[in-house]
Order: sequence, then structure tokens, then C-alpha cells
Amino acid sequence: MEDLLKVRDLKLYYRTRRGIVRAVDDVSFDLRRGETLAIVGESGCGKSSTATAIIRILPRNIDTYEGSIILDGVDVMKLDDGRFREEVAWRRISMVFQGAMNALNPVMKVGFQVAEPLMVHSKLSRSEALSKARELLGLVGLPSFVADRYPHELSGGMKQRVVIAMALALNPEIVILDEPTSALDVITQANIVNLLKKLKREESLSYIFITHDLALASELADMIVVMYGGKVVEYGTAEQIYLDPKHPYSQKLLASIPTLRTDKKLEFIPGAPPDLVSPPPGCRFHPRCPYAMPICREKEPILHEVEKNRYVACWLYGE
Amino acid sequence: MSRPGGLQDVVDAVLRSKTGIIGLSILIAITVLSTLALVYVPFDVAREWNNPSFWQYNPRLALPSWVNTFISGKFPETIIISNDSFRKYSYYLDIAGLKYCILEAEFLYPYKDFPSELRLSLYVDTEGAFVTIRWIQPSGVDIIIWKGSFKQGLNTVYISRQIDVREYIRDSLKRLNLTVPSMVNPEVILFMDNSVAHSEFTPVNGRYKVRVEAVSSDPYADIKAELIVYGKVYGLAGTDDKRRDLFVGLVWGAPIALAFGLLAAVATNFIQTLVGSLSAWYGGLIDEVIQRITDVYMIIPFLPILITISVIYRIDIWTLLIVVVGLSLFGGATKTARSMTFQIMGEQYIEAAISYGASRRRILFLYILPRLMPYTMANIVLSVPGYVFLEAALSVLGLGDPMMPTWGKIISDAYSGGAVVHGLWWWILLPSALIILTAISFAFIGLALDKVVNPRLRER
Repeated sequence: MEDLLKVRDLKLYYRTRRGIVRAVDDVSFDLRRGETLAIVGESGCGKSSTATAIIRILPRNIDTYEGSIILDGVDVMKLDDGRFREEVAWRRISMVFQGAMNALNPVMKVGFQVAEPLMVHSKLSRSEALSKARELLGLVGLPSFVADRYPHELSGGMKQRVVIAMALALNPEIVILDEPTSALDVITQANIVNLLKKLKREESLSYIFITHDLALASELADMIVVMYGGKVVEYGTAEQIYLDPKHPYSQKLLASIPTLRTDKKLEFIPGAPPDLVSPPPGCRFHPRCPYAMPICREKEPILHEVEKNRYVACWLYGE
Repeated sequence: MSRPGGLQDVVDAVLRSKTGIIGLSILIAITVLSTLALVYVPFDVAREWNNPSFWQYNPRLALPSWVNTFISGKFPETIIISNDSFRKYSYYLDIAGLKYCILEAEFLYPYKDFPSELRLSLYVDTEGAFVTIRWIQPSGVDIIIWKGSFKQGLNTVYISRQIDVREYIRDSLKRLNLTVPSMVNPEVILFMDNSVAHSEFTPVNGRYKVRVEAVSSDPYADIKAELIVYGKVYGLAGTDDKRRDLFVGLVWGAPIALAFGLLAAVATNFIQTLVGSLSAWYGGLIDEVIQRITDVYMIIPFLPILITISVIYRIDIWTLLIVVVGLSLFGGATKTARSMTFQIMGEQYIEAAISYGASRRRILFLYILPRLMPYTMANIVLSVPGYVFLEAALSVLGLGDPMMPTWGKIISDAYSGGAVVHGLWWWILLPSALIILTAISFAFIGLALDKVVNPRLRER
């Protein structure tokens, strides 16, 4: 399948009082049409920053924002903000925000919120947009009376569906799902995941699925990007990574998933993720890595192909 | 189906709490009072308030008439005997070539206290006439009040005030061998029993007669009379030293006070909230400039500047309103709205709106300002009493609107009219009570609204 989205050397640095935060540092991956790419990692490893960098919702304190994001052969990084918002954001790449609880405006009716992108973008009239919004709510499995409700009258799962409906408003090709289910209970989580699968099939969507939950990622993902400290440490198909994780961080991450029935001792990774203002020299994982070698402290490993379509950044796998 | 912090929520909160209902009912009562103003006083109050002849039929400094329900000896009401109530006899005496006109009126005086004042107006419709005015008590004692010639036109005998009237009365009493009390006002002598000496004065109840006898050389001479026996109680709120019905002033003060307080509160709070959220939302230089201006505004001494402007320009109440709003374009609410906007800006639906390309203005007016509304609403309600007090305070200082009868103006008049010294309680207490009631009603409603705005107090 063709590559729909190619991200190359994406950098997003924030400027803070403490110094420059290298939230996204040389991140590269490909997303093929109709596939799901999962970005996994601990909190604070740059997953959400990667998402905001792709859809260009940037805070004010940006220091560096560079690299290339090639969508269907066009580098959208070269578009100015106005054209990007007009042509790419929401129209081709949309986003489901983290934590549906806060992703809806509490003082606006749900239908109106779903209709908002339509009114802003497609210049539809209010009533046209509202009837389209009802259709969209139907698509995500919500009865149409929900359109006349305020967010506080809905359950968490319903709110999440509303947010998904909002993301689908302009028929995008790519939907970025930023921890779409993290605030929901497991049953609702399963419902939402099934809805996402169904939508992907019916609407021919491609997902960038951001999560810290590897079990959930295995449900949806075709490809997996493991991020650590703002960098990609491993990149490959879901099968490769789940069955045979190469990078020590990936191995530890997988070992920390609880499994039913087997009485396995859960592993954890000692220490905390690195401070992205002053990351450790060499490999960013070396202070926590059980296999750390002298070279890890000195030289940063480069992401290189170890098998076909399998990339790892670790000195264990040579140069 | 209500939106949180929306109008429905606000109304619910007010209706659900006791304080809200009390506040609202006081406010409704005041509003009803001010709509009654239109029924009770259908004239141009602003013009007539300072016109003394408009109020000439009212007694001076009269108590409110409901005072009579609390005391045993009733205070007298005003009795007006118009020309129509006078019986008129006239004849022309050919031999002498004189025209005699006699007007006679009778009225019942049932009160246990003396009237406050007497006044007789005569309209003489001839070159000139010689007039004798007689006062006939129920016992038949006939006292000459005044004797003399009147010119053509309106002539008024201020029976209570004119020195010559006292002389005439004294002479009459001497002639009739009655006791002549020294230093007693005509309105007392005329209504008491003068056959014995008194240490305490009480009025004699019964039918009194007034007789006006006019003699003129003009055969077509005519005369009209009007007698006013001013009482000591009047209306629902009494009168002031200029005979003005205070109820009119109070009733007209209500819409003025409410309009001034509400307009000032709404305007200042909306402007400040808008400026504050603009400041946060557009940020950068705009933010910096707005914040520094706000700092300066908050340091500027508000009242001294307002007093200076009032002293120099003698502004009317609506100009005062504009000045007040002008001096409050930036202020506390600007700072609060700014910090609240920063908080809202971090919400994800704002990020979503930015990413799907909503314009900055759209986000500000559709997403941010509605979130600030509950807070602004409560602020408006809570700041209304402040502005009502402000207007009253400026009036008391003599800096308010010189023409309009506002509550503060009435208190100011009472103060300069010596109400405190002479114990004219109604003149001060009634307007003060209305100001306090208005403030309390808004404070109570504000207390109820606090539950909507302050999440810690939210009961659900």
C-alpha cells in the first residue's frame, strides 16, 4: 500500500524558563493508507507533542518547529498557517482530543459543537450544518436527540463519541486519536474501539493512535512507533514488536502489561523518563537500561533498519 | 436541558434559595412601586418638582397620614374650601351707590390637633374693594381676621403668618371681652375656646364659618374666595419644607435609582469583562498595554475625581452615569476576566476550534465570553447597590442632579432643611429605607447567584 503520510525528522522544541524542552526530536515514520499507526510510550515522552506538531496546534512558546510532513506527496510544513488551516487541518487530518471530558464546550449544545467545523469550513448555513451534525452523531451511534443536549448531560462514552463525530465532520483521511479512551471504563473503552474499527472500515480512514496502553494499541495498530524521551526508539509492524521487541525499552514496556490467569511478576522500569530540558548524553534510555554499555553513555544510537521495515535505535544491534 | 451557567440556571438558583426569593420579591415590590409612579403621578415630575406653586395646596412638613393609625388623637388632614363651597350673596345699594358681595362657607373641624397653617385667597374682579374677613367659631364667637382694601386681581391673606392678622384678631377678642393669649399663632386662637384662660390648648370641634364681606363702588364687582386649612398629615410619605409630596419623590426616585444602578453595573461589568478577555486572548502587546492601563485606572482615586467633575460641571444624572462608566472601563473585573480567559484558553475545545480554523473573534465571542457570563452576571447584581449608593452619596454631598427627585437628593434636602434637628424623621428615614431595601434585594439575589458562580457552594 502507498504511503499516505510521511513524517521526516520532525522537531518540536518548546522554550521554557528552565531551558529548551526537546519534546519531539527527529521523529520519522510512515503511515500507509487505511492502516493504523500507534505511537506508544510513557507519559511525557513526546507522543501528544508529535500529534500537535502534525496538526499544527502549537503553543506560544515554540522554539523550533521543523522537519517535513509529506501528505500525499505534498510537504504541508511548507504551507503557511492560514493555508494549512484552510486546506489540511480538519479537512484532511483531524484530531480526537485527549480526555473527552474537557474536549467539549460546556455552554454549547452538542449538535452545535459538531456543526461548528462545518459552519467554519464548508460555509454551510446553520440549519444545514445542524442536520449534517445529526447525521454525524448517527454515524457514531448516538440518537439524534443528543444534538440538543449539553455536554454535562451526557455520559463519558457518549461525550467521546461526540468528539469522534466532530473529528469526522469534514471527511478527513487521517484521524489522530490522542488517548481517546483513557478516561473511560473498560466496557466503554471496548465499545469505542469497536466503533473506531467500524468507522475505519466504512469511512476508509487512517489512524494515528496515541496511547500508553499497549494492550489497547494491539487491538487497532498495524504499525507501532515506540517513543522515549522525544525520540523514536523502535518502529515496526505490530506483530514484530509484540512478538519480538528488540529495544530494551520496548521489552520492558511489554513486560509491564498485566496478563490474565498467568501468575507473572509484573516488571517495571526503574527510574523516571528523562528531563527533556537536559536529556542524558548518548542514548536517552541508558540510565534505566539493564544492558547499558560504555558506548551508550557517549554516542547517541541512530535509528536503523535491522530487518525489513523494522527500525531500532540501540547499540545492542550494532551500527 | 439547561446549559450550565446559562440564564435558566441563574433563574433557577435565584428561585430555589430563600435569599434569592426574598431579594427578588423586594426588587419586584420596588419595581411595582416605580410603575405605580406613572399612575399616581402622571405629570412631568422633573419639571414640577422645583416649581413651588405646583405644591401650594399641600401642608408644609406634614407627617405621613398613616401615622394617624398609630395614635389616638388624630392629626388634621388638609381642608380645602374652594370657591364653589362658598355661598354667595350680593346686592347693589342704589342710595349709597355701593355693591355688597358676601361669601360664606361652613366646614366641620373634627380633629384633636390644630391645623398647621391657614390661608385665604381672594380674587377681586373690580377696580378695588373694601373687604372684611370674619371667622365664626362653633360657639358663635365672631372674630374679624382682616379688614382693608384689596386691589384688582388675586390677593392672598396668609392668616398664620401676617402680623396685621394677629392685630385684628387681638382687637376682636378684646372687644368681645375674651382672653387674649400673648404670642399664640392665629391658627391656634381661631380654633380654641377663648372664653377662659388655658394652660393647655385644645381645638374646639364643630362647624366653623368663614365670612368674606366686600364693598365696592362698581355695580358689577365680583369676588371669589378660597380657604385652605393646612393639616399636619399628608399622603403616604408626608411632605418637605417646600410642601412637596415626598411620596412622589420617592416613587420617582425608584426607577431613577434602579436605572442608574443597573445601567452603571451592566455597562462597567460588560466592558471590563470584554476588555479582560481581549487582553488575555490577543496577548502580547495588547495584553501588556491593557494591563498597564488597568493598573493606572485602579490606582486613580475614583470618588475624588467624580466629585471634582461634579463640582466643576454641575452634571445631570445621565452625564454622571457616563462619567462613572468612563472611569470604570478598566478595573477589577478586567483582571479577573483575564485570568479566567487564560484558564479557558487551555481547554481542549479551544484548541480544537483553532485547529478547525475558527477565527479568533469567533472563538472569543462564541467560546470564551459565554463561559465568563455567569461570573459577569453575579458581578453585575452585586455591584448594583454600590452604584445606587454612589448616586445617593453624591446627592447627599450636594453634587447630584439638581433637578431630578432622586433618593439621595431628598436626603440631601432633608439634611439642609434641618430634618435631623427638628425630628422630621419621615423626610430622612423613608428615602434611606428605600436605598437600603434596594441594596439588600440585590445583595440577596447576589448571594443566591453565588451558588451558580462559586463551584464550592454548588449544591448538586
